[in-house]
Amino acid sequence: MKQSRVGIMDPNTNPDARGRRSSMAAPSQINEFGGKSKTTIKPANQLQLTPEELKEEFTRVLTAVNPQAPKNQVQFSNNALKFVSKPCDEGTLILFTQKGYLLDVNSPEAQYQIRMDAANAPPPGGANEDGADEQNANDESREGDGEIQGAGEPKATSDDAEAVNVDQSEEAGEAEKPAEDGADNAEGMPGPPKKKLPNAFNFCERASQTMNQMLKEAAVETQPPPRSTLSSNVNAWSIYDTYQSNFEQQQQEKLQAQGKAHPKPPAPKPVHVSLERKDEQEIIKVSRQSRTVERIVNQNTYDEIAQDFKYYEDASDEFKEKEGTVLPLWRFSFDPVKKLAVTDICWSETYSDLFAATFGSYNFLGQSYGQVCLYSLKNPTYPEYHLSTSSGVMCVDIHQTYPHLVCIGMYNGTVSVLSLQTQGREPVCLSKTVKGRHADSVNKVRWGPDNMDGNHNFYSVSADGRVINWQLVQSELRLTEVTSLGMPEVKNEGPDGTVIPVRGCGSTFAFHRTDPSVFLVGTEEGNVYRCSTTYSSSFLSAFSAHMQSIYSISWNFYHTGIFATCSADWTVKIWQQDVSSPLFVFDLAAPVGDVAWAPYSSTVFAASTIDGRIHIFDLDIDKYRPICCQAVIDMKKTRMTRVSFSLAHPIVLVGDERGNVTSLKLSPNLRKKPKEAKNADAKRLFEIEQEKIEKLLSIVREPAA
Amino acid sequence: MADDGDAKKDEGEKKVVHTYPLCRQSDMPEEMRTEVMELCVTACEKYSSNNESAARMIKEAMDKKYGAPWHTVVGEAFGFEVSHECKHLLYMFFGGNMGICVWKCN
Repeated sequence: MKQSRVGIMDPNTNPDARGRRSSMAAPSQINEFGGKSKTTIKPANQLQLTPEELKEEFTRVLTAVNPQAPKNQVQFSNNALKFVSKPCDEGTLILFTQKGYLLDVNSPEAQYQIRMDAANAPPPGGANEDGADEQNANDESREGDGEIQGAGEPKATSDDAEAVNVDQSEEAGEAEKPAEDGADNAEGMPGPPKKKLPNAFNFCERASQTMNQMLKEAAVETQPPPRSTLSSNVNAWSIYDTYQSNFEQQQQEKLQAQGKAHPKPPAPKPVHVSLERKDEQEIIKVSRQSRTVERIVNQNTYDEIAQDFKYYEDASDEFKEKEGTVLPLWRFSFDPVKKLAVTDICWSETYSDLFAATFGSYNFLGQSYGQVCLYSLKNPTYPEYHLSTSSGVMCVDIHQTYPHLVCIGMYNGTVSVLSLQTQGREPVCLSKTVKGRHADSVNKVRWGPDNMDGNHNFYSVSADGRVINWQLVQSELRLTEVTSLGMPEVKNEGPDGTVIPVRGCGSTFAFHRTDPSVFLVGTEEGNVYRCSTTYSSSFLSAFSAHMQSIYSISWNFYHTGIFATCSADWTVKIWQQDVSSPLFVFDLAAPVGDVAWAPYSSTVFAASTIDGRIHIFDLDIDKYRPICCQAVIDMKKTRMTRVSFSLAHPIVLVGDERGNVTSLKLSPNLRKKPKEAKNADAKRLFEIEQEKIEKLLSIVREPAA
Repeated sequence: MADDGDAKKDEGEKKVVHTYPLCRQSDMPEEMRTEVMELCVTACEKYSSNNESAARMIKEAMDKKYGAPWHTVVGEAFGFEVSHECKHLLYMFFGGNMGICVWKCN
C-alpha cells in the first residue's frame, strides 16, 4: 500500500481557498491582481493555535482501508462450536491491480524453471563459448532473420545470445562443428552449463511470420463404368440345344437367301419325328434305371414309413397285457381306381413284397369297369402292373409256384388269366366265349396244383352256384364243372308243377391246406359245404353256419381241421371239421367283410368289419375279446372290405371302398409267440403252434364232453 | 457364329455335332467380339486338355490388350452369375461341349 502525503492546507496561507469552501460568501473586494477578492471573517468559535502548533505537520495517510470497518468481527462456527474471528475484508477497496511476471530467484518455481532451461540448453551449450564468433560470422548471411545482435560486443555477450539463438547456433554449429569440436573438447564442459538469461537492454527479440498458404480441400468422384449381371448354366445338353437351334436358324436363313419359301413347313417335321423316336428308344433303355430311381425317390419321400415298417415296435405294448395296436404304414392308391372298391387282396408267395389288388364294385346297380393292380411295397405310389377290364374284378389269385400267372374273376362271370411276363397289357386268355361259363359274378378263384397233363388249372366259385375248374391249355381255357351247389331242401315249383332245381349262390370257397382236393364253399344263404374235387355230385358234408351270406372262409395254417367263417350277420365263427357246432362265436357289431388266420400263429386271426374297424383276436391270450380293435378307415368316407396277412412281414393289408389299400403294422403283442418258441427251429415252431391250438381246443371241448 | 466348323455324322444314328464357335451372348462391339472369339478358339485348341491353361492364356491376353482386370471361365459344365462392365462380356460355346465366359469387372 502506498502511502502518500497530503499536506494539510494551512488556513492562513490559503485563505481564499478555504474561504471559498467553508464560509459564506464574503463581500467581494478587488485584490491587487484585479480580480475580485474576498475578505474572510473569522468566526468566533474558531480554534486559535499558536504558530508553532500551526507548523506542526500532521501526517495523514490515505489508505484504502476503511477505518471505520470493524476489525474484530467474530462469527459462530458450527464446526468448532465456538466463536471464531471472521476475517475482515470488507473495508478494503482494491484500487489497482497489476499482474507481474517476476519471480524471486530463490522461490521454488524459479528454481524449477532454471533447471528446465538448463536441461534444454546442453547441446548448444558446448558451442556457446564460440557462439558469438559464429554469430558474427553468420551475420552477413542472415537476412531478415530478425535477430539483432550486439555486434560490437561479441565476447561479453556471447553468453546472452545462448538461449535465443539456439536454432541458429545449431545450424552454424553443425556446419562448423567438426572444426570446432576439438576446441570444445579442449575447453571441456564445466558441468551442466548455467543458462544465462539475455538482458532485455542489449538484446531484443523480433519475429515475423511469412504468409501461410491457404489450404483448400477439393474432392471429385468419377462415375464408375456401368455394370450389368449375367447368369447362366453351361451343360452338355444346353450347348447341344443351342447349337441345334442356331444351326436350324442358319439353314432357314440360307433358304430364305436362296429365295425358296415352301420347304420351310415340311422341313422341320421329319427332323422332329426322328428325334421323338430316338428319345423314346433312349428312354426305354433307361427304364430299368428310372424304375430304380423311382423306388429310391419313394423311399426317400416315405422314409419315416419305411423306418417304421422295418424297425418300429410299439413300446407301450409292454405295459398292455391283452392289447395290441396296428400302425398305419403306406397307403396304396391309384387314380383310375378311386371310385372302385377293393374286392380282393392276394399276396404273392414267391415275392414277399408283391401283392395283387383287384378293384370293382359290390353295388349291383353301379357296375362299371374294373382294375387289377399289382403293387410292390417298395413303390407305394404307383402299381408295378395294372390292367383295366371291362367289368369289375371280384377276385384274384397269384399262382403259388409260377408267380407270373395271375387269374382273376369278374363280375360278369368271366375269368381270365394274366401273365405278367408279357410286355403287353393283354391277358393271356379270357373265358368270354367259352360255353358253359359262369352266368353270374365270380366270387373267388384259386389256383390248384397242376393236373396230370401238366396243365395249370384253377377253380372258381360264382354266384350262379357252380364251382368250375378251368384248365389252361395252350392259352385256351377249358372248363370242367366240379360241383353245383344244389339246395334240394328248397322247393321251387314252376307254374306247371315241375321242380326247378335251386342252386345256392356260392360266395366264397377255401381249399384245404394240406389236401388239395378238399375245399369248403360258403354260400349266400349261410351254408357251408365241404366238397371234394373228385366227387361232383354230392358234398362230403354240409351244415348251416350263419344266418346271412358268408363272406369269407379261412383255414388255419397250423391245425388242418380248424377254419373260420365270417358273415354279414355280424359274427365270426371258428369251427372244427366234422363238428357241427362252432367252437367260438364272436359278435363284432357290424357285418364282417373278411376273416383271415395269421400265418405266424395258430391262434391269431383278423376280421374286418364294414364300419372300418379291424379286430384281431388271439385265442391264446383272450378267448372272448379281441386283443386289438382299431378303426383304421374313416367311417364317414368309406367302408372296409378286405383284410389280408402278409406271409413274410408283420403287416396286414386292408382295402376299402375308395380304392385304397392301407398297410398296417402289427404291434408286438399281436405277434406273441409262446416262450418255448424262442430258440426253436421251423419244425419245432410248427409243433408248438399245434400244441397251442390243441390245448385251446381241449379247454373248449371239455365242457361239451 | 462366323465360321462353319466341323460337322460329325454317324451313319447309324444321324447325329450332327457342331463344333464351330458359337457366341451365345455378348455385348461387345463387333470387331472386339470377333477378335476375342478368335483368341478363345486359339487358346482352346492349343490347350485342349487343360482348361486352366487355356483360361490363363485368354485372361492374360485380354489384360494386355484391353486393360486389367479380366476374368475367364472355361469348362464343360458350370453355372455362373457374374457382374460385368457393360460392353465387356462374351459368353460363347466351342467344340460341341466347351463353354467359355469372359468378362471384365473391377
